[in-house]
Amino acid sequence: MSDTFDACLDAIEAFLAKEWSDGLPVVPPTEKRIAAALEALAPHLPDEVVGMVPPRGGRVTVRDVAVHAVLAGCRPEYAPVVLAALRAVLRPRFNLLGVQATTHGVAPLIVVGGPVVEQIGVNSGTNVFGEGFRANATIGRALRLLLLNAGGGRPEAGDKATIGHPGKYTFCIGENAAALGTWAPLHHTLGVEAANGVTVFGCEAPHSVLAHGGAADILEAMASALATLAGNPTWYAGQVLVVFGAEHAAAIHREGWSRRDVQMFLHERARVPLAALTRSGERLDNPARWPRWVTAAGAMDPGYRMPVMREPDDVLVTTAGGQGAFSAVLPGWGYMGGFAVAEPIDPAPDAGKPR
Amino acid sequence: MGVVKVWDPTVRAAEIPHELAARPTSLRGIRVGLLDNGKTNSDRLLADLARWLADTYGTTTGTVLVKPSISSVAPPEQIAELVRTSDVVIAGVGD
Repeated sequence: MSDTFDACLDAIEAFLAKEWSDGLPVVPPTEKRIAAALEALAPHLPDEVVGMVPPRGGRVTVRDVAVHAVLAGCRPEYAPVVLAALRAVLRPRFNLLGVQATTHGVAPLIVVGGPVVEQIGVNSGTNVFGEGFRANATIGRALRLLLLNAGGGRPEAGDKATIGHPGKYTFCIGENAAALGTWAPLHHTLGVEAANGVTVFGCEAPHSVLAHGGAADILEAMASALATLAGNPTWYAGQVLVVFGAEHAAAIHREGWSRRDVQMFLHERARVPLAALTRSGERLDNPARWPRWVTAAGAMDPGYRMPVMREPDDVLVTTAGGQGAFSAVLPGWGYMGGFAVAEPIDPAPDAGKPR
Repeated sequence: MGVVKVWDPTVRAAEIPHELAARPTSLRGIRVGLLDNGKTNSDRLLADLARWLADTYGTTTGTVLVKPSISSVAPPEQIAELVRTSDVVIAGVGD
């Protein structure tokens, strides 16, 4: 037995030496463990092709998803969530080629929504972006390992991120269904009607929003966190994700704000002076970044303050986190891609399935 | 000695056959196309290069296109136009 244990440790070292890892030890992908993950992915067959992962173009099958779920330390019932997240990042709208290769520190965040969050133990409460939960830690890691091993997204080779961010190891949260109140789950707002869904969004690390008071106080603080000359959305448009902690969400629901009200308020209040951008020699000739109404308003008024989110719909809204006066904003990459994409979780994980 | 059989996690990429375009033997008098990716200063860098090539080698600057996105491959119709109208193309970056 101890010989086998040593062989497992040697296998872990070999995976690190061959750069088949993210820099942390992996779980050796044995036939037995892969078979268990594949069983959770049925009726999908092992040789079913999921897609080509850029920039290297690795052709990923359902078996490769199972292997990487094992490598990351997933329980078998997490594998369908990993598969759904991979399908989502491979949608053209996400532009995974760019997300992988850009100098910006963008990483795909996975937001898991629906009853599956409770069923498989995805943390959607206290310390939601932090440590301590196997599902969050390993589902996000499995997607990253696929981006590395299949996509070739290694630093300098296929990933030119100047500074990156810690979410590039793992970046997965559960949507806090109780805190959603009357708001629809995030994946429903993106056109996926299934009860269980994942949303992927290419974004920066979460930036904390501390606020006490009513809905407007909370949202005004949030708007100020978004109104920065340092953010990609300021320069490149695109989307942002705002995540309301349970306490902030309750305060907003008490006053009856709809998701649309939140989007409109943040769009209206998160502004920066356009002149601060043009001072640096910024070009205004790309309509995807600078809609006609922005450049026209800037030309009329030298003091014009431009909305960071060019459209209210660019604000994605979800709930996650526990009690406390905190929420978070996560700026996206820009008009180039990383746009939020939702996919149903298929097959629906069943933690009670005998195996 | 114990043995653990593990799966090789590397994923093979599909082989796509391709060949490189023929290189011009001289820059003298050729048509230069410019593909601007839209980044800050990309347009100025390309314009300076085109001017220097014209002064030094007598090149002509032909098609100048701006990519719709800085982070995506140029769309096929832009590539086709550049191929049709240029002997060499310079693709610019900024930042």
